[in-house]
Amino acid sequence: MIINIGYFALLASIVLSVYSIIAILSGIQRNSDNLLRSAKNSQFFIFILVFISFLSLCYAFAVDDFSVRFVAEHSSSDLPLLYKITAVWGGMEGSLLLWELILTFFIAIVVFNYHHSNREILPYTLVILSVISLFLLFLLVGWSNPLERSFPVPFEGNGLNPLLQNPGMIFHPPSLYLGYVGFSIPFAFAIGTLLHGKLDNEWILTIRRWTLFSWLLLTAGIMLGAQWAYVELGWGGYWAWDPVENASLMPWLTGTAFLHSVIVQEKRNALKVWNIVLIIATFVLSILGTFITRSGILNSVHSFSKSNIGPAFLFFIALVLIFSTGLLITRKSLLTSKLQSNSLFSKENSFLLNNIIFVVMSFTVLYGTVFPLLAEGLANKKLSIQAPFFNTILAPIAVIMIFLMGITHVLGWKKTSLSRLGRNSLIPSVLTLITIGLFVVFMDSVWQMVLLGSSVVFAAYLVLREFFHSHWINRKHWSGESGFFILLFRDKRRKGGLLVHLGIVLLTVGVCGAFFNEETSLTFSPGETKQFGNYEFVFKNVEREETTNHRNVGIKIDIFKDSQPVQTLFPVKSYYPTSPQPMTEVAIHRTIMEDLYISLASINKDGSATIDVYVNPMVNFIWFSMIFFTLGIIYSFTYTPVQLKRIN
Amino acid sequence: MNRKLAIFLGFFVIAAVLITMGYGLFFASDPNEIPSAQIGKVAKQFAATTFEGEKISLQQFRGRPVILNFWASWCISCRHEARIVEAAHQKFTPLGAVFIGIAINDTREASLGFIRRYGKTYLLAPDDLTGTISLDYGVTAVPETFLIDKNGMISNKVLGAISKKTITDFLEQQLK
Amino acid sequence: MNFKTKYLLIIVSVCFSLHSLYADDLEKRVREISHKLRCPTCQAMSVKDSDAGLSLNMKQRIRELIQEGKTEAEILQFFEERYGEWILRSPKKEGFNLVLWLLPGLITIIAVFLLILSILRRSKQAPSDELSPLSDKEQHQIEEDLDKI
Repeated sequence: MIINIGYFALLASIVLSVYSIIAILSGIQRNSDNLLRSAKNSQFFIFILVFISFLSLCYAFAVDDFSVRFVAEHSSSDLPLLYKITAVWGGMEGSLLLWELILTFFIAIVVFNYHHSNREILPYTLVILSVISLFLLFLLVGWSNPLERSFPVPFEGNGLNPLLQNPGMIFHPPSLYLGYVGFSIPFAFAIGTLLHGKLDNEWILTIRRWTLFSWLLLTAGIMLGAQWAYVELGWGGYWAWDPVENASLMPWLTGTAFLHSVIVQEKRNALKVWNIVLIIATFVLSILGTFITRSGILNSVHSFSKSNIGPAFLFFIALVLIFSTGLLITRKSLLTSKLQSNSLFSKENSFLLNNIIFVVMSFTVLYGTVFPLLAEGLANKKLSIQAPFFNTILAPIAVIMIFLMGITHVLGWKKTSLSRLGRNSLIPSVLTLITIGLFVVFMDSVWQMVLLGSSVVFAAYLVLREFFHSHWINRKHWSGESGFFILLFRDKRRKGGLLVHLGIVLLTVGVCGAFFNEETSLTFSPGETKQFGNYEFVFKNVEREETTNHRNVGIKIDIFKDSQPVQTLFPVKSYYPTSPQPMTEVAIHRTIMEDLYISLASINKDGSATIDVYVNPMVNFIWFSMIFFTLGIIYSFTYTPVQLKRIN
Repeated sequence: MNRKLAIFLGFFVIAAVLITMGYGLFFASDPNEIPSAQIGKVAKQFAATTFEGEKISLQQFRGRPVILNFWASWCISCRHEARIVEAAHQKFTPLGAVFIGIAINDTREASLGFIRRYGKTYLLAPDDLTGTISLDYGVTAVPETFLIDKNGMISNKVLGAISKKTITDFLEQQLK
Repeated sequence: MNFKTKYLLIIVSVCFSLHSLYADDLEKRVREISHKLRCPTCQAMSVKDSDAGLSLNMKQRIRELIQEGKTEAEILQFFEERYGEWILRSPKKEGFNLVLWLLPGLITIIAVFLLILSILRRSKQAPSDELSPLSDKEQHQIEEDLDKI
C-alpha cells in the first residue's frame, strides 16, 4: 500500500513537472506573473511528492518488504537497521531516487530564496532545472524503478554487499550527490542567463554560495570514497583510477576551475565564456560519469549490474551538450569583455592558465578512462589503462598547478612588476631548489616525487606568507580595535581561499607519502614474533566472533614499535551467509606520520597465519586536509560580496 | 583565439565524446570478455596426471581435435555445461576427438565430488598449485574452453558455458 | 667449541642470512613485476595488490620465472603472449598506443603556447586603446604603496 503511494507520488510529480514547465514557458511569453507564481509553487509540491516516494522506499527497507525487487536485491532481514536505510542508495534505482530528492529539494530552495532577486532569469533557470528533474523522473518511472514489485515474493533478500556495510556508505553517496546536484544550480542559472539574454554578472553573485557548498560536498564525497576504498578493499591504497572514481574526479576538476574562474568575472568582468563552458562541462561530466559507470560500457569496482538506462542517459547528455553549446555560440557575441590583461604576469592570466590546466587534467582523466573503447573501435584490441598512465601524465601537470597556486598570490590584477615578482618569489624559489637538492641527495625518489614535494614547499611558503601578511596588514589597519578574534573574522574571503590552499598543500604531502610506502608479507605461528621496519608483531592467538549478520575469524597481533607496546590489532576475514567469498577487514594503527596497515591473507592449515603488512607514511595528512577545506569554505561562505549586499 | 577554430574544436570534442559513448554502448564487446591472444597459434604443451592417476600430455593427441575445458567445483556456470560436455564426449570421442578437463584452484575432494555429481568421464586432471596450465592458456575465468584442431593450433576460445552447437560444429568439421 | 665447529657455524649463518636476504630480494622482485600486471579478475588492481586465486597463481609463476633467471622484460612478455596486451597495466608506448600517451601532453603544450601567443598579441594591439601603460618602476611604486594600506 505504502509502496503504491510512493509510486503514484512519482507519477504525480511527472504531471506536475510537465505542468510547471508549460506554465513557466507560457508565463514568460505572456508576461504573466500568475502563471509563474503557480509554476513556482508547484515546485514545493513536487519536492513533497518525491519525498513521500523516497520515504516509502525507506519504509519498504525498514520492514523487509521483499516484494519490492530493489529491497530484495539489496537487503536482508539480518541487516542492521542503519544499513537497511543506507541500502536505499546501495543500488542504482535507489540512488537515482536520492538524486532526484536532492534536486527537487534544491529547486524548492531556489524558488524560496530568489523570490525577489534574479527576476528576469529565474523563470528560465527553473525551466532548465525542471527539465533535468523531469528526466530523472522519467528514468525512475520507466527504466529504473526502485518501487517495482516482483513475484513470487522471496523469503529472504540477497543482502547488502558486505563491502558496503561500512559507515562510509552512510555519507559517501549523499555527499557526492549533494555536490553533483549542487552544481546543477549554477548550470541552470548560466543557461538561464543565456536564454534570457541578460548577460550581466548577477548570476555569478547568486550562484557563489551554491558553488562553494557544492565544491565542499563533492570534495567530501570523494574523500569519503577514498577512505572507504582504503579501509574496505584491503590493498593499502585509497585511489585506483577506477572508472567510478574518475567519474567523480572529472566534474571536481572542472568545478574547481569554475569556482576560481568566476572570481575573475566578478572582479574584472572577464572570462565570461570560460565560465559558461566550465559550468556546462561540470554538469555534463557529472552525468557522463554516472552514465559511464551505470551503463555497463566499462567495468568498475562499483559494478552496478548492467542496466538499460544507458541509452536514455546518453540521449540526455547529447541533448544537454548540443543545446548548451549551441546556445553559447549564438549568444557568444554578447559575452565579450573589454577588460583583458595584456601582461603575462597578471592574476587574470594566472586564472586563465589555471582553467586550461584543470580542463586538461579533466580531459586526461576522461581520455584514459574511455580509451579502451577507442582501442577496441579503432585498433581492434583490448587494453588496460590503470594507475601508471594517470600518474605519469597527471603528475607533471599537478606540479605546474601547485606552483601556480603559490605564485598567484603574488600576482596583481592586470599587471605585476617584474621586480615585485622577483622579490616575492626569491625565497620560495630558493627553498624549493634546496628541497629538490635534499630529495635528490638524501632520498632515493622518483622525479615525480621530487617535483611534487618541492612544488609543495613553494606553494606552502607563499600561501602561509600571504596568510600572515594579510593578518599583519589587518592588524596594522585595525590597531585601534580589539583583539585576535575580530581579526580572525576579517578578510574572510581571502582567508577562506588560503585555508583551502593550505588544505591542498596537506593533501599533496599526504599523497607524496605514497612514494615511500613499504610492504611485506609475513607468515608466523601463534607465539611467534616477526619484525618489519620499526615494528614487531607478536601473534597472540586466533579468535572468532559473531555479529548479527556475519562472523569474523582473525588473529590478534600485539604491535610493538621500537620495542614499546603500541596496540593490539585484529585483522579478520568476515563470512557473510549472503556472500560466497569472505571479506577481508583490515586492521590499522594510525599515527600522524604513518599508518601501520595489516590485512589477513590466510590462516593456514598448520595453524600459522599469513598477513600482508603495509607501512603508509603521511597518509593521514590526506584526511586532515578535509578540515582545512571545510574551514576555508565556511569562511568564504559567510562572506557576502558588497554587490550582493546592495542588491538585497 | 580564432573564433571559428574554437567552435570547430568544441564540436569536434563533443562529437568524439558522444560517438565514443555510443560505440561503447551499442557496438563494443562486453568489457568482461577478453578474447584469447593465442587464437591461430600453436597450443602450448602441457602434461598432467588425471584424477585416476593416468599421465597425459597434449602432444600425445597430435592429429586429433582436442576440446580443452577449464573448470572448477566452485564455479556455477560449470554446472550448466558439465552435462553438455559429457554428452559431446560420449558422442565424439569414439570418432577420434579428445576431451580434456583441467580443474583450477580446486581441492581434490571438491573436484572429485563435482565429477561424481555430474557424471564426467573424460580425461580430467587438476592443474598444479601454480596453475601453470591455465596461465599458459591465458585463462581468466571458469569455465573457458579451447578448441584445438588436429594440427595442434588453437582454433577458438569459448568464454563461459559452452554450447552443444559450438562443440558439434567444430568437431564435425575436424573429423570429416 | 673447537675451531672446526666455529668455522662451520660461521658458514651456516652466512648462508642463512644470504638466503633470507635473497628471499627478501626475491619477494621484492615479485612485487615489482606483479605490480606491472593487472589482476585479470579485479577492477583496476594490480596482481601485486590482489588476493584473488588467479593473482596468487600469477605471483607464484612470476616467482618461478625469476628463479629460472628470466628478466623482467621476459616475464612481462611471457604473460603478454598468453593474455594479450590487456594484461599489462600500462599500455606499451608504441604504435596505436602513442595516441593515448602523447595526446594529453600535446594538448597541454599547444594550449599554453596559444595562451602566451594571444597575450603577446593583445599587448601589441592594445597600446592605442589604453592610457599609457605604467612603466615597471611606476608599477613597482604603486604596489609598494598598496602594500602599506
